Amino acid sequence: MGLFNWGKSKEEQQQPPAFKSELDALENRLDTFLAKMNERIDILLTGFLQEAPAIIATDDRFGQAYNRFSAAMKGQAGNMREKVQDVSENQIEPVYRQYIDTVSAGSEAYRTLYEWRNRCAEKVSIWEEQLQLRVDQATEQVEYKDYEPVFSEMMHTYYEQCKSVNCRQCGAPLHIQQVYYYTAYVTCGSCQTQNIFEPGVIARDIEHTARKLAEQRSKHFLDLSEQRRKEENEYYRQMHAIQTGLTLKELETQSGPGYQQLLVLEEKRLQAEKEAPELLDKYYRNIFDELNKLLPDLKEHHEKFFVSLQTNYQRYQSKRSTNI
Amino acid sequence: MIQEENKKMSFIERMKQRAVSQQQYGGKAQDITAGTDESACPNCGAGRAKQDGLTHCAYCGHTFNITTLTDGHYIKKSDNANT
Amino acid sequence: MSQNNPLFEPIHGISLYDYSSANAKLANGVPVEAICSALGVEIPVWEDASQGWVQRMQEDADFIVISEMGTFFAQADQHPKLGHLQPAAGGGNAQNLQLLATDRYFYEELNGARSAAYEAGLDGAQWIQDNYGISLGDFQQVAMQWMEQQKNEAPEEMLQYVNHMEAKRQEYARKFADENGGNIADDVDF
Repeated sequence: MGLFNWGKSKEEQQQPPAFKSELDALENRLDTFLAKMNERIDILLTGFLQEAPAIIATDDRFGQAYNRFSAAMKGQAGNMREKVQDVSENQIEPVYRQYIDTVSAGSEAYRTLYEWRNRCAEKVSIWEEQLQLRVDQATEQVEYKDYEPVFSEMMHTYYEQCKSVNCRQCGAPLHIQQVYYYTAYVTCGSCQTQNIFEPGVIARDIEHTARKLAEQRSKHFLDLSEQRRKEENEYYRQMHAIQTGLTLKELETQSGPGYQQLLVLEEKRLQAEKEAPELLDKYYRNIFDELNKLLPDLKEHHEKFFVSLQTNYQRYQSKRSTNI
Repeated sequence: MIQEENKKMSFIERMKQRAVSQQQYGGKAQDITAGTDESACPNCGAGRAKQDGLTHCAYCGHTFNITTLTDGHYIKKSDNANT
Repeated sequence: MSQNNPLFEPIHGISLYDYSSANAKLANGVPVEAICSALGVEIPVWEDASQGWVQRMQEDADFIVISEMGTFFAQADQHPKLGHLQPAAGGGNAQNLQLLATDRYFYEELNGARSAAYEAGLDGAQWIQDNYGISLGDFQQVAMQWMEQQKNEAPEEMLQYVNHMEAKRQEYARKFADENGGNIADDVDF
């Protein structure tokens, strides 16, 4: 490297700063520490995936034992996250602060220190993202349920139970022909007596399950919307990268190959930005269309609920201004 | 390493035990199937006919519901007793 | 605000105050039969009205019904028909409940402990019931009262409470972990 040091400042020609070996050692320790933490994540999530199905299989209808098990898993992930944060705040940052005032800005030593700190922070943040991603994936995997058979099984069982429900006064079958979501007065077709009909726990869970099924049937719209949102972000990121590389002339005249590229990207970005909320709208609309099919007697309520929900998610939709 | 693994698997075991063995708030969810509850007048034992409404007993005047019924989902204004 | 708004019209004569107080009592373990008899209605009427109130909350884009419900929930004990209702198991630990309603630090401590309990895989509501004799309904009622107060708090004061809760959460997290053989990565050192 000797030849190329020509013309550089004296400070820059110096040997690596004295703290370089300390930084290297710390960074190695961080790598080892994060690798060990990853092993624990493996153990935690493997165990979670192994044990959860058995817990779910014997759980009550609210799934409370599983809820506690899953909360405990997330609690452990949180505990590990706090531990890593603690290392970042108390082992890495203080070293950076200890040396940063001893080096002059722009010097090789300054750059070494600065890059070291960014690299460590990046490692921690990638570790955290991975942890979150893996926890989410494991949860999704365990909780995934095909609601089609679940829903039809519930309807079937409910109507089977209803077959043996008779009038308290005359004993004739009550011929229940609809889902009652909760206790209701039901008139006997034979003697006109009002019975108090308790539909049972299955009927009480039907509305909730129908909602889950409707969401499942509509999920492809949500996925597409998410995808468009990510695409929009990606186009924006690419545009930003190109913009910073534009020459002054290109910027002033708003022309040239770089600028043309920018325009193409902006068009794609605008398209994605337009489609993301449209697809989200389709998602919600589809949920309520499905709900109307599954539980037609609640249609009037579903429509009002949809309007209220739509008002709320539209409140948080905003568009980017790119000024090109 | 294998021992270490076993030790940690027992952590999962402990986590599972805690989740499944605990008493939960409000007790265990009950399994109720569809059926009818007693609806005869608690005062005179008379059955209740649809045309007599839901608020009072048509025979002895006993009050079933002291409020005035409005238009709900299953219960409608027309279910108020005429008397 | 609730006058002349059709969203607040009673359903089968059951007002939002009735509905909110009844829910506070139900959360305390008062059986639904006792609620119905105090309100003078049969279960099908109560359930039809309940469903109606849930639907109104879902249909109300501005959350005014749910916000009013919170306010009423905190006033359940003053409700003329329902206020006196207590679960069969008794009213719980009156002294602790009094402390919860008057000592903000105690309230924040139990909030932190409850979070830590859930994160440790415990049923937080049951833990508070077992250790302090405070039911979920009572706890929520007091929480609503503190939330009302919070509206007039300076940010520094609020931060102080948040910090207290967080410190307690960590303290209890350590305790709950130790009771169950520690956390999964306790022995991983930097």
